[in-house]
Amino acid sequence: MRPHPAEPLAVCVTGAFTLLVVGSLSILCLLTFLVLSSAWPRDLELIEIQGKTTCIERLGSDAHGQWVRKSGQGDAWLLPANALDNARPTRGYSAMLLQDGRWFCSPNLELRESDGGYSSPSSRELVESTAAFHQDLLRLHSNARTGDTAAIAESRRLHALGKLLRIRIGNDSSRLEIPIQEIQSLRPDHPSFPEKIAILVQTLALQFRSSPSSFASLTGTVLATLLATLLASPLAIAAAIWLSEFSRPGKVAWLFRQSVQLLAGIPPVVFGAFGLVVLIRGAAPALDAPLATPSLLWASLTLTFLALPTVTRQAHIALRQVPSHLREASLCSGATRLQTLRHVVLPGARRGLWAAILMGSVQALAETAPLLLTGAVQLAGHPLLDGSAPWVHLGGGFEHLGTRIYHGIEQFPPGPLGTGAGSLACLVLAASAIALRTWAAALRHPRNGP
Amino acid sequence: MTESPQPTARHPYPVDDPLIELEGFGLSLGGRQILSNISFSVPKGSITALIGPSGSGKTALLRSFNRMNEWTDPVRMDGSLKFEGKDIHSSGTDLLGLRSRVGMVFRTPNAFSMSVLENVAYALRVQGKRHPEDGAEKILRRTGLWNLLKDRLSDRGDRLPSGLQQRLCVARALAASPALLLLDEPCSILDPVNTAELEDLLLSLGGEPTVVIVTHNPQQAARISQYTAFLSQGRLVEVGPTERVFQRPQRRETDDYISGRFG
Repeated sequence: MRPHPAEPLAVCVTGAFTLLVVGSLSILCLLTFLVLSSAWPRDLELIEIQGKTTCIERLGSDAHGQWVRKSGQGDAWLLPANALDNARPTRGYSAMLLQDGRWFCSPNLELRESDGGYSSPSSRELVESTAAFHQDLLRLHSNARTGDTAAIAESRRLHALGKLLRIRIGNDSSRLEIPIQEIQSLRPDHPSFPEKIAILVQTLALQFRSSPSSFASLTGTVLATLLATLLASPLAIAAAIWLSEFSRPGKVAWLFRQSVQLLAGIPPVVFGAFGLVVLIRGAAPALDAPLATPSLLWASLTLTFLALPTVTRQAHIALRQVPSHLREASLCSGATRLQTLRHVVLPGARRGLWAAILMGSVQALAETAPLLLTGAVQLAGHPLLDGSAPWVHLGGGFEHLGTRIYHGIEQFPPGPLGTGAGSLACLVLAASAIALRTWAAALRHPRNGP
Repeated sequence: MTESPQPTARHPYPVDDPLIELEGFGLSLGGRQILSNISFSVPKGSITALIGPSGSGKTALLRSFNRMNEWTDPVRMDGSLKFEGKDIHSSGTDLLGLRSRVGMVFRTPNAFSMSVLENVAYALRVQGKRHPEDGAEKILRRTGLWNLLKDRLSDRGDRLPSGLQQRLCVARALAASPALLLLDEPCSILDPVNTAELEDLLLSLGGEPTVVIVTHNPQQAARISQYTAFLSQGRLVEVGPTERVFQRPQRRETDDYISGRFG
């Protein structure tokens, strides 16, 4: 007997499934690798500055950095904005040069204020200003050797300048000068394996607080997702209840279902455009700044629109899964439709409805494109949560893990800190989305009944 | 044995005190004619069985008694269907009132996902009766379930084994003291032991309330009912006292069905 020829469909399905599993696993591995490799203490230095451990990165991962190294001026290191105080970020980046075992600081570069937040100077600017500073130093050195007294004085002045780390702190821009001797390197020259692991853990922890602060982006993400879910869920569940329990099969219900499907099919960035053009610009004349500009409030509203169709659809499915003979049994007991809904349908669909809400929050959590248009910025410069009323600040730009990935990997000075923080954000975002989805699935398909 | 409806089929047995009276009753669901020209009466205090092959319209007829057909499909009706002397399809019918006078038990045991006691008290609670728990206890005692369930009153009703759960559903349907109890193939997923227990329960009610039961099992009809109506393809073929229908069927179709030659 000839063996059965392989069923083409089965081959395709198995292939696609394997590809999916292998693909998702390798993406996770890649992300983990990115985080670990960036955190591995090769391009990072742990230093102690004013009694606080912080992590600086080598400006050497790109073409400019290569040039700095090749020109023999030593390594350039970047001091992160929260090196001294998490709550009061330094408004400036300082590149530090390690030359012949001595630290030098480049002149401070200010953060530029941009719509609602701050953007950092590019790595090119940092490196070029640092290089220019040191070329000045070198030129003055050689001039000083010829006995030029003016050059000697200037060289001494610049040396003194290079021996002081100058940064501005907080919104009041108070200036701080730290003598360079006070900065101590904590990394052993030749770390053993356990030491490497310890440094790895420490740098990972530091990266999470590095600038732009991951904590701020975490708060921004949680707040935006929470707000969108809170706004979308009651509306969507009400719509699903109407669709499943009260609408008569007919044109209206059909139109409603179709529009939900349509909404679900619109690319998220279009929602972003809608948020910016219709919501923000439409409401701006009636509101005061900072609510009249792209902000957490508008981003959450845009995400609400995005989550609405998902929650509606999932909630509708959950309600339809309550067997119709249960509704009949309730109606036959003389219950009204509302009583049936309250006592029989909603309790029966409870887990499915929670799953629908979770799926909506995954939808709100996992979108970045609409946020770029409606309020997420690279550096928000002000906390979303603090002790003063109303505690949650909805106005003004905010930081988000999704945009942090974008800025961290794409725009932030290329280097281990930016990439590391970006890929860490990737991991946090992916892990929380997967966790929420798994939770939703567990709610929908319980192993031993509800 | 002719094929045209005999005049005697309209009122084949004298009914002094009818609970339900059907007169030329016809029903179409979603544009499809399900029942046509059905005339008979259900005497108060009796157990009446509706038998017939699948698709004969017996469930649709049963669901006409509490107007549950319109829950699922657009309904059109002709003739009249009187419950307690009032045409329940007239425009002024109080649907909630009707349904609180008619209890129903379904094919599959479908206790709500609440406690045993809450299940039984459900009808009393939604109808706004006082002390629904006391009424529930009374009905559990009456249906003989009290001894079985008194230690499990707070267990979830939908987690009881199916035989017990179906009897719980009967108790739930009886809780608000309805005038009529409808059962739609209540034993279709029960084993013979559970079926016998459910039949005992129905017999123990003693005509309070009146019972109409749809069954696909003619033997069950013979065991528990006083009257039997045989339906086929939406028509009422024969109706009468069960003993007569089973022992001296007047139509060959009936004879064929109850002796197992078709259906």
